[in-house]
Amino acid sequence: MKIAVISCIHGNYEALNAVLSDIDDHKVEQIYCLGDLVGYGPHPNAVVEMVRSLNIPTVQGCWDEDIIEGLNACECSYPSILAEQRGKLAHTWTDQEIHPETREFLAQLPMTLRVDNLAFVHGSPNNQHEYLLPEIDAFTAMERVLGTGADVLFCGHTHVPYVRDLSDGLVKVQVKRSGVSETATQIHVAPLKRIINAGSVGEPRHGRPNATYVIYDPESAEVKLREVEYDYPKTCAAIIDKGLPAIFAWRLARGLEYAERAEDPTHICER
Amino acid sequence: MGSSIAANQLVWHHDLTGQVLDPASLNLFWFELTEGAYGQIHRVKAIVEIVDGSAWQLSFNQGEDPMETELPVERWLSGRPDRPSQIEVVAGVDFDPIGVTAACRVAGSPMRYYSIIKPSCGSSHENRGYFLYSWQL
Repeated sequence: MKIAVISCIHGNYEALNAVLSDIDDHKVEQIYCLGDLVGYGPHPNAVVEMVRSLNIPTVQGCWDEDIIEGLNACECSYPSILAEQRGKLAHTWTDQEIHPETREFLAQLPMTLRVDNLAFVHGSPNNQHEYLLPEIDAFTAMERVLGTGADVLFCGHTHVPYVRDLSDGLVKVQVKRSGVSETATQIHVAPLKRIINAGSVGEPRHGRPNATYVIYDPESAEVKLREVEYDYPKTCAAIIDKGLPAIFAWRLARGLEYAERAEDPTHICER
Repeated sequence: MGSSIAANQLVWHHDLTGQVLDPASLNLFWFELTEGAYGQIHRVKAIVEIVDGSAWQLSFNQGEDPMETELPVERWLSGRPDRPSQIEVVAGVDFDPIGVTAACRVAGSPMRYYSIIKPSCGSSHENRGYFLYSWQL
């Protein structure tokens, strides 16, 4: 039974449609979505309605959370004042645009999904805002997978797809408490663990405008990173027509992502 | 700036005197400007001030890599810099001066932005002393 994992649609309805068509061509039995249905893109309501109507199991992304909870991150979320200003513009626009039922849908999304030995999160099991980059140190990567109790962790948020295998993993945790001479030690020996990042359907960051997603076969453990062309000029035109900043269209057309990542992508805002 | 301007080109300049730019925003803006986000660009020259008090010359000619050179001037460490700062662009007719002006404006931030409106949770912005500076929006 093959599954498809999509993430980071960001209100890009054209890209979502193209990806769903591509999924149809691959005889996939179940689709999972890793969140960020809204934000930056021009069609947040249509995207949410599509995901909801197809009953796609979905976790809550950082943008979904921010629309529900309001922006509450410090400047750590953005690499520059310019990027932050753009993010706020997009947030304000999206907040005004979405329908009450869209907001309700986003609010009830879970942080994580667990199906057999598979776990699905947006950023990391710890936080929707944390980036699991492919180069993150092995200890952190292994800890994040072990924290879910699954063997395969699907994540998004980075907007660049990747597969990272963690083999022969050993995590040793020692806790020394004040006033207690003994040190508590836990050792976790992990067989093959895997992090699979689904990339981004609606806001790619791989230098091309094409949407990306993942097809995974749990039986064979085969992973296919799919890259799908779509009518991105239509999305770019909608961005401008709807009054979103024209720079979003320019960046989308070049696969640059609307706003750049924070300088320290593993930093989690403490607020 | 050279004097040979074609009929389908325009010269645009914007005074930045007194503005202090956030380096990360400047990098983003400079990349987008020279890559054509605000229309076709033939040449750019600029002198900008950044938050550590240094002044930089930015230069771009179409078909060449952008250049950024720190100017051999004293760092301006007290208050708003009071020395010439400007950007001048030779662009195609599709140039978007409003977008450039807006980006330049946002690339700076008033002191209250970091010290009052958005108190830091310990990010590198604070460590770099952004909150010590202000410039006009």
